[in-house]
Amino acid sequence: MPQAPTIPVEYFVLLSAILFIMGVMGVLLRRNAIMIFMSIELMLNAANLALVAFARQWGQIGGQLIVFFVITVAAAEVAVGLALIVAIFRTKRTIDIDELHAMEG
Amino acid sequence: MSLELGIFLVVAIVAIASAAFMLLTRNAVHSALFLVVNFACVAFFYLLLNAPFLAMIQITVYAGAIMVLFMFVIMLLGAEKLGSQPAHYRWLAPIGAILTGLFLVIALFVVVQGNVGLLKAAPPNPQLRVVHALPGSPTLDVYMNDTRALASVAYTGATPFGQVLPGDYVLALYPSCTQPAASPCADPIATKAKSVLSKRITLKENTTTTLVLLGDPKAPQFVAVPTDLSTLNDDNTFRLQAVNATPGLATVSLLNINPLKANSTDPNDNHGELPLLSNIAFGQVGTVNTPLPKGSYSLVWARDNDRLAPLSDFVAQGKTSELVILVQETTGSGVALPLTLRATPVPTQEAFGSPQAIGQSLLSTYLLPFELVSLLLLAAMVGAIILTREDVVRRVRRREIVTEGALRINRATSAATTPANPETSGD
Repeated sequence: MPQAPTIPVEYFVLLSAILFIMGVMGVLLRRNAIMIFMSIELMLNAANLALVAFARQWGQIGGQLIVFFVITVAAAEVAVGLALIVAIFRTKRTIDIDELHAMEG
Repeated sequence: MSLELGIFLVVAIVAIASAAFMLLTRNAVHSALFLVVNFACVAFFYLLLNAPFLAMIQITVYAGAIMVLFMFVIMLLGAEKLGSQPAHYRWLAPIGAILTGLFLVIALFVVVQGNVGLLKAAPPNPQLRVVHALPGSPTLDVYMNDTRALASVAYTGATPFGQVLPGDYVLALYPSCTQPAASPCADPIATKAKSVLSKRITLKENTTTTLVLLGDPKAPQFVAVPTDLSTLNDDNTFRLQAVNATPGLATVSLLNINPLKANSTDPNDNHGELPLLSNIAFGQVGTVNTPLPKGSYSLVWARDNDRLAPLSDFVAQGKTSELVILVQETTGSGVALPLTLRATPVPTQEAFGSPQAIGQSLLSTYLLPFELVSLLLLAAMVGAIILTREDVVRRVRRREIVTEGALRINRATSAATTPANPETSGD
């Protein structure tokens, strides 16, 4: 069992909520595809932080394992996503998502 | 305010500030660097939250590998200067800001009002095992409340630990069936057979109990030994407990003999004997208070000046809980023969969030997701290679991939209708 928590779990969840919402703002307000991608990473990290905080609160190792899987999936997502951005840049010569309003080519 | 809380607040402010700078700066390289700072802060929070393994993963995979990939793409595309060309959807920005602000208010309200900190996991169920230290008794089956529980246990053996719900139980032991499977024995419960021993026990939550069956073969009894399986601070130590199961014998002590000094004649050396536990009466449990360093021990029981039942090849692993039992066997000629039994060592719990604990869960409960994730990573690797291949990009630009299906449809439909030009896609 984990040792008695000295910092309440609410603090971590509040911080996680703030970081998550900053990530949402980044996705909604920035128009650069790479910036949007980095904001998504920020949101994933905020969710991970909440998971680890609750894993300690409940004394369950499962929360930490989910975070392990989230990190792995994020690595795969970054590899494919950045390849997509490179491919889009080669065809369109821009990564501004406002320019990418056509469904084709 | 405690030191830990102070450090938490400082790092939390750094994390939020780095996230804000990441969003606000116009240079993509600076954004990526601020994101690295944010990831490092999150790794620090993992350390505060008993997740040292995840903290290391966060640093190596996130702040290391993933951010290097980001930087590589930023520099490859020459996208470090984010132009502020007029966007088509300017009106989206204020609406998005308002909605995210509302979202934040709701999230904070839920966290504060939802009392998330008051939710706690239920305490773990009690665990129980039975150790058979009753000489002359056959292999026994363990029944709890008239249902078969745990495994059969032979003399000198121990059942593995089993989880049961907390509560009162009637624990009864019946001789195991020794007949071949073709002619099974009668159910001892149905035939109301006489049990070797039946006793009422109460199991509380979050306890680990070893029940030792011992005593006179005519009047056996249980001794409940509380087994401490909590995490040991030092991986190279083990816990030792001892039970005296010799009826009629006076109190005994457990000694550890240093073999290098065993033949010493120096009276101060005491023949290299070091008392571990002293004065254990029949049916009593002795627990060595401080965990002992792992390694090879030479144990012997002492009654006054007698030395009984030496156990010279006692090799203890680290991170285990050991139990030795002094029993008295009666040989065929009626001579009492003391003997030391060693119950199966039980591994203690791994520290919460340690690499060992993560690895144990990963390779047992979470083995299937682990395999799936490895396949996903392989697919992502192949996907990234295909997406960035030059000829794929060229074919997309020439609309070969897009129009292959469309051409076929157009050919089929144009044959029936008008011979219109199939290449009418406008851009």
